[in-house]
Amino acid sequence: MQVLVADDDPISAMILEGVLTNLGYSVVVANDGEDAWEKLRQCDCRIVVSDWEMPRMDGLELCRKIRSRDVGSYVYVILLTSRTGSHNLVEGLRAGADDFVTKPFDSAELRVRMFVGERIVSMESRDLVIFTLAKLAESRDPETGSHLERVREYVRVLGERLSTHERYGSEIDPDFIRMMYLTSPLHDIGKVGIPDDVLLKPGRLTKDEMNCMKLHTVIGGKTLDAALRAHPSASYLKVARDIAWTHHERYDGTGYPNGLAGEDIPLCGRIMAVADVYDALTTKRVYKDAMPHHEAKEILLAGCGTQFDPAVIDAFEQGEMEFIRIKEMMEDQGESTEPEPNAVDSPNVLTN
Amino acid sequence: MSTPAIDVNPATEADPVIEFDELMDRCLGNLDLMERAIEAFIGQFPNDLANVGRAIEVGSKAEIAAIAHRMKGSASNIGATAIASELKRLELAANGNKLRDAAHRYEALRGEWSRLLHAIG
Repeated sequence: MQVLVADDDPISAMILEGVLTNLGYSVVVANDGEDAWEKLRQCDCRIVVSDWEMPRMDGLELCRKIRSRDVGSYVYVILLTSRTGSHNLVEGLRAGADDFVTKPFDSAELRVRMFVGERIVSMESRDLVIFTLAKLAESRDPETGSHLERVREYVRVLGERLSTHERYGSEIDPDFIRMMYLTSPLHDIGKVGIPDDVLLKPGRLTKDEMNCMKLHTVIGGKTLDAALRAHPSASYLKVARDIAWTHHERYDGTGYPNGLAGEDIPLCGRIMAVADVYDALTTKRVYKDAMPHHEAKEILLAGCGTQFDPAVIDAFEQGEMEFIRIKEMMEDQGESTEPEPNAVDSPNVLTN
Repeated sequence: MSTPAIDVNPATEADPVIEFDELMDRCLGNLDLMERAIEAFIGQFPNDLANVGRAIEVGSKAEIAAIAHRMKGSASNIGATAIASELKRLELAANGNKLRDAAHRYEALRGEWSRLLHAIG
């Protein structure tokens, strides 16, 4: 991540630059507020560490300029100061500073305050990336409506139930559940790479078309993997990639794209599989009507240990009432829950 | 702006001219960075000192305070705490319109500078 250091004292700037470089940041140095403002518009610095008192333009004025003008994305500002007293704190915050570090700075303190800044700016990037990609996925998904919203709720229920499971309790914490909730709408992002004549075909797919459709897991997985390799610290991309790549794997190893089995399938993929299939079964599609809950449940239970992880099916049964409530609350308009003869298809076909 | 507490006790010969442990911590143990910072400080200080002297001669309190403030940042960051304390007194004197006091602080600062040069050989 690029960081801008603004300090009119070249020795302080040199030490700051050295320390921040040691901490893994790419550092741009400015020798006063005006220089900082110019450089900020030329580079992609998401965090600014600025001295308070500088000639030409001080740190407060720099903050005000950053906040009053659009510089593309949120810039986190840490002010360096030897000033004390709450009125100075108020003045700094009012100008737009996010945090303060006392001069002379303590490197351990600076390090943790930089982490806070990184967390804030990465949250903005994360939410923007997920929102954009989810919208892109939605635009290519024939199963629109509230599919993505329902699935993320099902995922949350399954995660919460599994967090009390003796085998998965240590693996699933609130962060894991939140990350799955955020990234589950990206599970079918790879469908953007599937041709219209296959993706939008109203009837049953041929074998070749099915094979083509199956590639959406690889396309989505590889796309998110490329993003993850470029930004290894973005942990949400790892969860998103694993979900996209593995949500059609089967517990017995007969799924796709890689035929992974059991716990070789990432837990997020095993959770997503149950949520996605349940939603596919209980909602109307162009080629079938919606199935009532009890029938969908029977199909899920029949797939326990073959298609689905038994622990996730346990979690589904424990959270069954919540599934029903979510389904009813977020039902698409015109959705029929009455089954029609011959409307049942295999779950893999239903979810493509 | 609240006024920071002033260290009224001047440094003694026994006080370290540079707090190396503090500088080492600040530089995360990076010896190369430490060396470069000290060299830059020693290279820049005489020029800054001369500029303060000239500002005192012409009675430019704002200039004295501005230079002293910047020098104080350098000195405190490299762990030259005695010099940083003298610079803080000089800045306060200038900000308080006490030119005569500033001149005294300037002499004390020159003394601390000589002590630092003598100590590091």
